[in-house]
Amino acid sequence: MKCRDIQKELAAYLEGIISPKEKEGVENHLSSCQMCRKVFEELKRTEALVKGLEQVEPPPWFTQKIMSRVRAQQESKKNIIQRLFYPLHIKVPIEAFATVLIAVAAVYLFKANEPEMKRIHVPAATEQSASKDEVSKQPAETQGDTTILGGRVALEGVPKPQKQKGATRDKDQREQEVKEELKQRTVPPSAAEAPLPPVLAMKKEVPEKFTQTSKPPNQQLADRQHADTPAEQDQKIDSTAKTSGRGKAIDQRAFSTRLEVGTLSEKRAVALDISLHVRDTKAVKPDVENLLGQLGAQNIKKESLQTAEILTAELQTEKTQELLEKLKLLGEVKEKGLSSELPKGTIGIRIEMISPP
Amino acid sequence: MDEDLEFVTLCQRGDVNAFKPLVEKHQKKMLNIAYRMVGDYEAACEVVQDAFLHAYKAIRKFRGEASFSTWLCRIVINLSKNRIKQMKTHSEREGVSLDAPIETEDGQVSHDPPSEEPSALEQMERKEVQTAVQVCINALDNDYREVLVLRDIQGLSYDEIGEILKIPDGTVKSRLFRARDALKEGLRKVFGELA
Repeated sequence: MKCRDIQKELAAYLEGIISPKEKEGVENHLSSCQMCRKVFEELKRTEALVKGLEQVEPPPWFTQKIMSRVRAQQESKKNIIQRLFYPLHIKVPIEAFATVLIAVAAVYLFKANEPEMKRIHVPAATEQSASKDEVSKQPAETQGDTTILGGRVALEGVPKPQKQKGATRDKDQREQEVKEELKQRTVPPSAAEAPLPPVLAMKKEVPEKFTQTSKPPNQQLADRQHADTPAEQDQKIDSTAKTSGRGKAIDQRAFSTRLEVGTLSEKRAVALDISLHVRDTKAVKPDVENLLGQLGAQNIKKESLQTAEILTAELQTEKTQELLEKLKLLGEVKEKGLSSELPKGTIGIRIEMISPP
Repeated sequence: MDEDLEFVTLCQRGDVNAFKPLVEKHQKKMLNIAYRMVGDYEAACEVVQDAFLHAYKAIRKFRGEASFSTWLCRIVINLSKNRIKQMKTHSEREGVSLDAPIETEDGQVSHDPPSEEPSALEQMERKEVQTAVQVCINALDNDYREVLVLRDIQGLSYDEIGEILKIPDGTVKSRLFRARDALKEGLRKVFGELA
């Protein structure tokens, strides 16, 4: 082996990772070659110097410093994650849920309070649309009760609900409660407590068709337009009533209130009832008819009873005084209506001609 | 090893405090590797801090195929090499150039002839020797330096070094021998006679 080859092997020899044969060759050469022995010594010295390097100690703050940086990094990472993902994965569902909840609550509250809010406006609306209420009264009379939420609840649409007689005791009790509450809450005290005016008392005597048909077509149309609101209320109230029991009770009150108020208005519209005492009703009857014709009365209808002749007609309010004056020429006139409080426009009049027995 | 893995698992689950024992356990070794690599204590401290920070950021990627120490050591070596490159680029570091000719008083260039005086090594204090050795290590190429540091200073096995540096055992050995040879030459230029 030459010195160059030996010096290449020296590092491995020093590490002890050389084959026994190569090791023997190296050792033989080193014992005879001073130059190579010197190189070997330098190599050993180098290794010793490197291995003799002292370990440095970390500064006392080192762990703390590293951990503070790690924690700061963790926080910033959290913030980034929160900024980027928190709103998407957690917050949005919460917000969405809250929004939906609020919306549902708002709708529920609105639905629950809607009938009461409408009820506040009911009296004014129904007074204006009295004739429509009469129209709506008709089905109320015939139906008598309404099915709500699968249970039949009697609604007092008119003062004489025939079918209520067949209703159960519970229904009657509930109706009574509704009516009492209605009087306390919705009907103005004056209307609820004051005795009915004479006109109201006459209401049943006047045929219903009298008031229904006694108005000009344009007014009927206007009334119908007015009356659309209560009709819609009916629909809304019914639909609302299906949502909750509370709404149901309120609906009944509102419905009942409107019908009662409507009945009052109707009774005022049937304005004038006149009793004419004459000796011979059949003789006077054509004169009265002529008189009505002269005054422009319409829809003149006659009815003969055993003791009386009855004429019904529609007449302008302004003509009523003239009618009364001229009737006085024919016999003794008694007014049952309050002519001073007659509504303007066309009113229904009823003239009952009575002869002494 | 298993203890490291336990803490690593906790860290992977988001427990930042579990990283502290790992720091305490490995910081000294990592600091010494970094210090011998970059040759500057302050820079080594920064490298090791960065290395731990990198390790924590990437802790979820740690699959336990190698030991945490090996994994961390690789990070330290890589960051150290980056630091060396950075220091050279910015000329912040002015090490002794072992190959640079030394200008004499008469302007002639001397290539460090072997001194006939008693060895300078024998006259230097221990600390000075250590500094000189570090300077010589700093003069080595990165490939030699890292092997030398891991083997002769840290005493790692060839397998561990191969795993850290991702090179075969044979390459580790050949680089190590060349590194020692180069260092020997460097030391001889600094100290004169070594033996």
